[in-house]
Amino acid sequence: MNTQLYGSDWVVIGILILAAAALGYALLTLNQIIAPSKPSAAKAAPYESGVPEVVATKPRFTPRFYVVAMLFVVFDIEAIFIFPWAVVFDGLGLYGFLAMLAFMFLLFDGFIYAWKKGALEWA
Amino acid sequence: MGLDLDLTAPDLTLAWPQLIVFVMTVVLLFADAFVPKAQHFATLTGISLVGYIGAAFALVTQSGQNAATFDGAFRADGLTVFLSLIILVAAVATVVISASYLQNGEQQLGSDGRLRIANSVPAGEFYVLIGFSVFGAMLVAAAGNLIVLYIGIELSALATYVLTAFAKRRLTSVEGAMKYFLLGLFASAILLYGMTWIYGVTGSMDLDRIAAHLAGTDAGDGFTDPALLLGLLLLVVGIGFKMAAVPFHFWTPDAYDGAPTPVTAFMSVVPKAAAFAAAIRLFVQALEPLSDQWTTLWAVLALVTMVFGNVVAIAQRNVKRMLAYSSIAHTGYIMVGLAAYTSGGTIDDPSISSLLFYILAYTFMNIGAFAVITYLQQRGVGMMLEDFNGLASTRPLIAVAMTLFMASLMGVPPLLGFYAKYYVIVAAIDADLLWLAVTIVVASAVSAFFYLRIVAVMYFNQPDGRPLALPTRLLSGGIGVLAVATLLLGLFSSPIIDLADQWSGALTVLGRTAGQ
Amino acid sequence: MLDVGLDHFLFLSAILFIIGMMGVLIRRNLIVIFMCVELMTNAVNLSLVAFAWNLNSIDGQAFALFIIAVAAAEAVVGLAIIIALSRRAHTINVDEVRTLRN
Repeated sequence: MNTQLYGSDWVVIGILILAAAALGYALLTLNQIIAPSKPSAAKAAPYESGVPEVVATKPRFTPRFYVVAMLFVVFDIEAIFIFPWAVVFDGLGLYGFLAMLAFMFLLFDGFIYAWKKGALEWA
Repeated sequence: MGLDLDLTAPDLTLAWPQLIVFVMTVVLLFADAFVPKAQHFATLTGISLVGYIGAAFALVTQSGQNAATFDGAFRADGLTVFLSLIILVAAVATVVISASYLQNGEQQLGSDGRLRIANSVPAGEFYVLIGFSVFGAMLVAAAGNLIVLYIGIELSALATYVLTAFAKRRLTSVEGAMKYFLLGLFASAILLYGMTWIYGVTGSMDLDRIAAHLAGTDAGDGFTDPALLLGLLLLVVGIGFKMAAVPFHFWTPDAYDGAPTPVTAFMSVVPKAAAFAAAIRLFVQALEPLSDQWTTLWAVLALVTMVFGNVVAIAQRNVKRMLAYSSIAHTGYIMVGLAAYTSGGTIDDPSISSLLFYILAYTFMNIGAFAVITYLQQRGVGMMLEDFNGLASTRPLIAVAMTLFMASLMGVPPLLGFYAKYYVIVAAIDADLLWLAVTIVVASAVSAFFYLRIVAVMYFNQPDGRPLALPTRLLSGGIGVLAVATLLLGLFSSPIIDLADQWSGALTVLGRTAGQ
Repeated sequence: MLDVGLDHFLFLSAILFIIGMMGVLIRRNLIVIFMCVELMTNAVNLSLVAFAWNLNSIDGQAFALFIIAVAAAEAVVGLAIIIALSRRAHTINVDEVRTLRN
């Protein structure tokens, strides 16, 4: 590559950033141009077809829903470490087993904490 | 796909200090759930203090070591020890100054002129989150590859996001947390993308192997791979966000202002120390062959950060916000140390050791300043300039301590802050960055205006006769220790800087020979 | 058959990253901003796995797993903060939450 042509290494990065910004704006503009926009009162209503609302819809959820959902996400995703471990379980030996036990203990620790703090009670 | 299953048990003795903090946090978690209410607070405070101090002792036994375990992912070297000690000092100071806050909650002056509790903070969760954040920051300091570095940064930051939102009845607290969280996540994504490119070009996650690869591929034609430069730029932006450098600082004032004051003290030091640890590990250890490129970037950022932080701080009447901008300015001073790094860093290169010393000095004086605000928060809102009116006549000792912290932040000799600035200036001059050295001096002169304004208000205004609550012994003791440290540690700066010198020198010299 | 190589993956991930970045800068709804950050993170994951595949090394894939786990933890913390905010401010529009003066 010809060094003189660019003058500085950073010119390439500058071009890249400009290209990135241009791409971003191009995509947004494209969206503005192509996407049909026909807002109407019916579309904004909570039920597009059906009975018109009588009172303002402002549903209240109990915090229990959020807490359970959050706990689910965390404990669910931790399984991601167990799958690769299970696939190569035979090759890992005792140390691999103990390491996973330690990991499971820490997960369990979080579970006990949530339980003891009453996050799992539905009342 | 090469599945290397040669799994050997790591040498856990090298990771003792980190493990102590981690086990302590897990114990805190159980203690929070099971200890009865009467002994709850004392037990948890005790466990925290014992854990941090124990970890500090374990660290001291490791000094002089230069070893790695977990297949090079975890390093126990001089940098680990020095940075972890700073982080532990900050942790102990935070536990000590937050005691009265946790016991009394946030108080507000009611319309009837009496104090009432507006926000109570759950002590157990507070200590657990502090513990996890400290553990994450210590992991960054000990990181030997990109994965551990990222996990450490995120662990440290995630706990701090939650801590920021801890006064959840106050909208400003949640709002600050929201801004901190979204921008922190944004920065993490940018940082990750930078790491990805570095990994893609060099083919390794290991910091030493990255350095070895880069040193080996320098073709000498003066042209650097654009993909590498892109990665470098993304890393600078990501780390810049985390350490609150201008122009990536927007979250800082809001997050500092909104967070409960002890949390502000904590987050002004520990995540910042973690960010600088990441910067040293990433740039000095791994990307050292590109130092010509990144020193220029950091020099420009340091200049902008120093000027902006100090100029905007002048306009603030809210002391917490003022200290937030002052903390941005200090980030700028610390970054000068990074910018002054000269390629091929020898053991005589003072840049990284000056940076390390500055973070240490900053820890004492900044946590001290926030401790005084925590103290004042007992008497109502406590963070506006007017709340300091006549403090010298009502609480003379606290006023003296605050004066010390302000003078030290400003850089008055012979206080700790003066020596910190002195070493950074020497490093800048050594690296032929005279313009940065001059900027530090000018910026410090400007900063005198807003630091001394607090001192003037304390000594020359009349107290407004609002009720004063008594602080707990831990809080006044903590302020006292921090003030004495600010006053005296400067006089012992030369052995400390020698230590930092040795340790950071060992990092750069040994790190590279080990990688080749 | 189209021959899909490293460049294709990197290009796709760069486009996803930029879309996410523009979303963070332009959108005002907190949930949407949050989703855009997740998009950026997943773009990073894609390029990590592509690099790992190209380099024939396992590191990149392992890193991607860690990033996914951290992203889950971030999602939980983020949603908790957003819920706390919507209870206090009754909105999740960033422009309407402006009590802190800048």
